Amino acid sequence: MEKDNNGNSTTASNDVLIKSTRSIQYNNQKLQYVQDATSLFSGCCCGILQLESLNGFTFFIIQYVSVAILFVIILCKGGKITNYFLNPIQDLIIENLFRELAGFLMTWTFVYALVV
Amino acid sequence: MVSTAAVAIGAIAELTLDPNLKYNVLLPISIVMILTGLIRNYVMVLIRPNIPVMPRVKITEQQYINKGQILLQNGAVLTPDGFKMRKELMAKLLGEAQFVAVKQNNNAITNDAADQGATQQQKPENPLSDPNASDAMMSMAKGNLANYIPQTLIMWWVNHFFAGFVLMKLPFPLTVRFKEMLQSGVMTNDLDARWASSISWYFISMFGMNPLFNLILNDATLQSDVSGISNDPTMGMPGAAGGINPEQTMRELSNDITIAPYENGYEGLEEKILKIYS
Repeated sequence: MEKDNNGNSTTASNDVLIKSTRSIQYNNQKLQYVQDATSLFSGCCCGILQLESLNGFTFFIIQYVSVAILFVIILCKGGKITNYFLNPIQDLIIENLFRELAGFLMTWTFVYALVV
Repeated sequence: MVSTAAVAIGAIAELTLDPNLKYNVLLPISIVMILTGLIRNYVMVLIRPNIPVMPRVKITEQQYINKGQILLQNGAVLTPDGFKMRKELMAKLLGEAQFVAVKQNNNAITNDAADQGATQQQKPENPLSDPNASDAMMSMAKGNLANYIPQTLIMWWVNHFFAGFVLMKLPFPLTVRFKEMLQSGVMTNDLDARWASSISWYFISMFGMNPLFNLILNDATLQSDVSGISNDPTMGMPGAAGGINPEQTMRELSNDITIAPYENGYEGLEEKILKIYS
């Protein structure tokens, strides 16, 4: 990540949190960009592999979770997630789930139909 | 290729689709949808209202409220004395509601507002009469229109030109309930719901387009419009719509500030820094 969001919602002391709304938003945007790209791409993969029903959804869940984990490890440098996201589970997993699922479904069906 | 779900329903599972369907139906619909999305986005940028005009008093009021909230949130970085001073000042100013743009009881305008006085006489109770609010509502309505008109048009287009045949096979099974929606123009009773007509491709891509647009138009100035109507109106102008009584807000904030305890953000700072750099 760039220097802009490194000092985003830094913990100042044990309990006192100093938040910067702009950085939080920036982080969420970055995360969303990564998630958008990966879910569309994995939808393409699913279509090319001709995965069907449950296999495809499993593929999606696995890639979605692993992308979240990789995001934390690589972009948050394995530091404390709470430095970057206010409530990590909510922001990393739940918030964009249906959006990404819809995108995934779209490319999956599209490529699936094209390849057949 | 015959999936178990299809067998269970009892359909003759495998159809052979004309490969030309892909090139003559699937691709055109997708391309049209993407292009419409792009055009809609740029149209939204074009018809976006200019910087919302606010009278200076209104901005002052907004900024004093913001200032109070920031003090509450980030007071820990101040020194005890600084915090105390700011706390007293903000509590006093907000408590007196000195910077309220439109006074409730005596309709008097603060001295800043002499030039704006004529337009600001009435209380901003009715959001329809406030020019700013009506502006915001106009842009909201425009946004809605820009969303609905192309949707309706494309739906009509798809329904008119590409109805009555099965276009594609979905990679996942669906219950029979979806049949009516997905195979609207197809007159077969026991065809598996996985075989979908073009209108269902329209629906699937309509829901899935958001991530794609995010990738295509990865531009901070444009992005907010793509994400849809849901969060737009509230984000646009904080507190300008006149929903909340600013004087009330100020007094409540003043109370909050008065009782706010001081937390020292610098406690044990030396050890923390040493821990970071050791």
